[in-house]
Amino acid sequence: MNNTKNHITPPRLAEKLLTWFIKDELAEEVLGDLDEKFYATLNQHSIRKAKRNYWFQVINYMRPFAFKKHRSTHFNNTTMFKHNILISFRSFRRYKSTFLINLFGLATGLASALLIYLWVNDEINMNKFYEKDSDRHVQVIHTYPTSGTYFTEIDGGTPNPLFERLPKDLPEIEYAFPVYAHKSFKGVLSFGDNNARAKYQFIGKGYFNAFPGDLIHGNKYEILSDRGEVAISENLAISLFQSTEKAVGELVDFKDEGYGGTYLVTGVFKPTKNNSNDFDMLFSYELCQTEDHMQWYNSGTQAHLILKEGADLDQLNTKLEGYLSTIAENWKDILYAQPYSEQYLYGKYEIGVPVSGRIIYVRLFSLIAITLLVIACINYMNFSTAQASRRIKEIGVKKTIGSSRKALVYQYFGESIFMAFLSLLVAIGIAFMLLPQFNEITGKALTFSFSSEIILAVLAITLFTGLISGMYPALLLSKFNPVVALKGKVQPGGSSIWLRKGLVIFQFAVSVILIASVMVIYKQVEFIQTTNLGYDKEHVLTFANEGKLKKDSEPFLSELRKIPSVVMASQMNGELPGDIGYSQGYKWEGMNEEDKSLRFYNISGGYDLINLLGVKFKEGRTFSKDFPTDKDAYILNEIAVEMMQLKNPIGQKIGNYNPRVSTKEVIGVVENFHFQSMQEEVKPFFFRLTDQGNKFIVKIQAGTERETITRIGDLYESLNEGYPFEYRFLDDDYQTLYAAEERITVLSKYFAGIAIGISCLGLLALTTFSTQRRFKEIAIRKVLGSTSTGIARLLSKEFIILVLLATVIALPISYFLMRNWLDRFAYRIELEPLYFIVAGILMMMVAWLTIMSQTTKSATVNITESLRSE
Amino acid sequence: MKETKIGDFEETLLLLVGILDKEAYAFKIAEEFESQTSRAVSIGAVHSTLNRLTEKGFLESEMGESTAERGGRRKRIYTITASGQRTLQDSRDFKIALWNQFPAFAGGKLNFNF
Repeated sequence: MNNTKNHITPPRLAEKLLTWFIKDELAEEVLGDLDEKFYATLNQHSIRKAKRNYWFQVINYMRPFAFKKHRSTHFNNTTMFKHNILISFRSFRRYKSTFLINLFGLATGLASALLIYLWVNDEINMNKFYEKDSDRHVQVIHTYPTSGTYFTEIDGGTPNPLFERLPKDLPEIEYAFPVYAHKSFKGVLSFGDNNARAKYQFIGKGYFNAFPGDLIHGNKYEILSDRGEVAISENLAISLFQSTEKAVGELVDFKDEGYGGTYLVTGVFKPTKNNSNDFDMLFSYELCQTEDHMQWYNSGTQAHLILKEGADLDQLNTKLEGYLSTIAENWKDILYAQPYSEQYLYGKYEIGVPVSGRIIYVRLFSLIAITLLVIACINYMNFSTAQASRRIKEIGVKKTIGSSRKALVYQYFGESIFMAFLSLLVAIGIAFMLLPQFNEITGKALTFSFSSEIILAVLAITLFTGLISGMYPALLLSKFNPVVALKGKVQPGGSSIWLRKGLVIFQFAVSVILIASVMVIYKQVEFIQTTNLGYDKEHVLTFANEGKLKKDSEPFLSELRKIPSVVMASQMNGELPGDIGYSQGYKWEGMNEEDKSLRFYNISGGYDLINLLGVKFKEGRTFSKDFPTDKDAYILNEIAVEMMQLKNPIGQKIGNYNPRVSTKEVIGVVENFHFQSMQEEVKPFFFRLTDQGNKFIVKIQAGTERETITRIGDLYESLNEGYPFEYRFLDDDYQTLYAAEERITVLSKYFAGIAIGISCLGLLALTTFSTQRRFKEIAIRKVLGSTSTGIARLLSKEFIILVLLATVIALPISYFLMRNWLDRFAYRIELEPLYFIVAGILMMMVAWLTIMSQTTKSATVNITESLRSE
Repeated sequence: MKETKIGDFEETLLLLVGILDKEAYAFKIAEEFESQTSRAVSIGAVHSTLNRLTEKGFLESEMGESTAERGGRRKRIYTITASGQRTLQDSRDFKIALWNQFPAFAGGKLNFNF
């Protein structure tokens, strides 16, 4: 034997496992054999191999002949199992109402949990790809300091040359590729007489190593190697060519301001379901790689990096943070590399570092799912313990004829798990029915795909529900002393009553929190929607300015104005509200050094734009054709004036560090208006003139929408052949900005309703039960002269106190939670005590009605009926 | 048809027990099986079969002596019973009878070169 290996022994854990399951009389010979095998293997192979082989041998000893025999025989086990199920069935049948309340409560809880699970699962898998290099794929996040705060680029734009430069400077990076995407990248693709509007983006070589590319035609590693190629989506191919096959090899005509031309279709792709970023066309990045584009002062391109195997991301980030200062002195922008798969959930940044994002909603709804389940479980627990006295004789008899405590614990767990699986069947039915509505609210396309993952998760959730709800009754009921139990004297002891009360308090506290939250969220969303934004978004529609019209839009605009129901018509650049362009590098008299980085958002538009939007003037005047110099004029907003510290803004000259931008004169100041989402503060802003807007904006008379839009559409299509007329209302765009908030309002409303419903069901059953037990007491009280109302009050008191207590506990918690939530809004409602008082009173009312419906019934009971039975 | 009551693996193990004689215990039998057939087998599988053969009465066993590499533990030595030997013989005879009826080899000339 090899001496150096002498001290090595077989793996201890495997030995333990073997001795645990193997028959005692076999242990000696088997352990001996395995030892011999182990040392024999060790002589010829490595230690690892010998150990692995030992494990293999041990696992291979798991055969029926070698197992220890269990003390109890199988025969009795199955009998007991059958017996327990029978008992469960009988008790379900006997106490139908309790059974139905339990079933319904658990099923509702489970159905909510199932739906939420589907949603959470979908969110978590968003942007998680499994391509060759996806696991090493990070994206550079670009943050710049601006007037005392930090702003992170929403579309992931970085200085354009960054992606090329980084792999040369930082050894952690294997290679990098660009993606150039922007909301405004939309054009019209034509083939013959067919036109379709399409969103496009540019991708660089290496894209398909990290992003999924499900190509129906074409090879993903070969397409887009030439500037003249384009890959289009399945839908686009079908709408232009009626089939995906016909598309390949065809020349298509693309009409777009920047990248119009004729392209060769070389690929057709299927959109990826879990990709948060959607597009209809892909171009090669080379197409936009002009000399001017690739300057450090131009930005917008996303830099995607593939790290080397085992590269340290933290180390890379320390290098990236100040990287731009090595490109240009005083360039204080911050870079941060974030794994691409995390970006969707952690898309909110603080000083350039991801802090939160949608993950908040994922957590919130997971929490709600668990809470709803727990509330439903609490009902089950409360019923089982409250009804303990009904089943106490059963327990007594069982214990007397020799049932161990363990057997009883198993019985009750078995019953609750059985119950949970029954509810699961109902829950799946409910969830199936509600899925379409749920999809509509969440804006997703969730389905019940029966993957092993989902089935496992559902089984785990159900098992969890069964175990939680069975835990307390199993441990409590099995504890009773058989003699006392058979005499029928056991009442659940003091501690169990307190626990039950505690559970009820918990249920109602959660319900109150949910009600208060729903009210606050609802109020905030209402506030956002009704607040005066500083501009008029009603009856305003926008549509693209492209094609022939773009070159000279004035004739079209004057035609538009001739339509009587068109109030005003103009053109503009930028998406209002939301995506507004900005620029920096302005200079003016009396500015500070740090004002150089001050960013100005701006909208350029026609002469009528400000009037059309109804933005109010604070001083000065709007653009006018009477002043030819207005082509070089700005109209600032109040915040800009304030930040620039201008005493007399009118007439102020504003220059630019870029020599190509001419000096402008301020001719007016408008009041602040919300050109972005209400989550953002109003920022410095100016209007300027253009006759090259990217869209038309038209205000029409209320009530004439349909005819007016048809007329505008006809006019547009007759003057602009080949461009489909697609319009949007400004207030609809505004709504989509708050889609997330809308969704939580609706969802939390439903879930609060469910929580209240389940809790009240529980309360109803508890009151029923406790009044039934006090029938005789009630009768005697009535004999002695109590009134019905007096008795009802007596019976309700106990529960009313519980609900009151729950409310008191819940209010501060909900106040804290809501204050946190509101913090994300720059413009928000104040938290008034009224919301919480109303929530509390509402809950009390619902609970009181529930209780009263039972107690009044028992208070009016016939005395002789209830006393006779003794 | 004549029942041999014994499977292929069982038959092989029975023969190996006979071959190994005084050294016939689970580990050695498994080793021998591997070296003779160059097929891998776990000791557990061998042990389980030996156990079944003992229950059928083809084998009997008793505890033998212990050695150092077994950590001082004794081994169980298997020996073939009379009934086991008879079964082996029956199985062989049965197969030879079948071979003899195979027309290609009728006349006792066994030709394995095909």
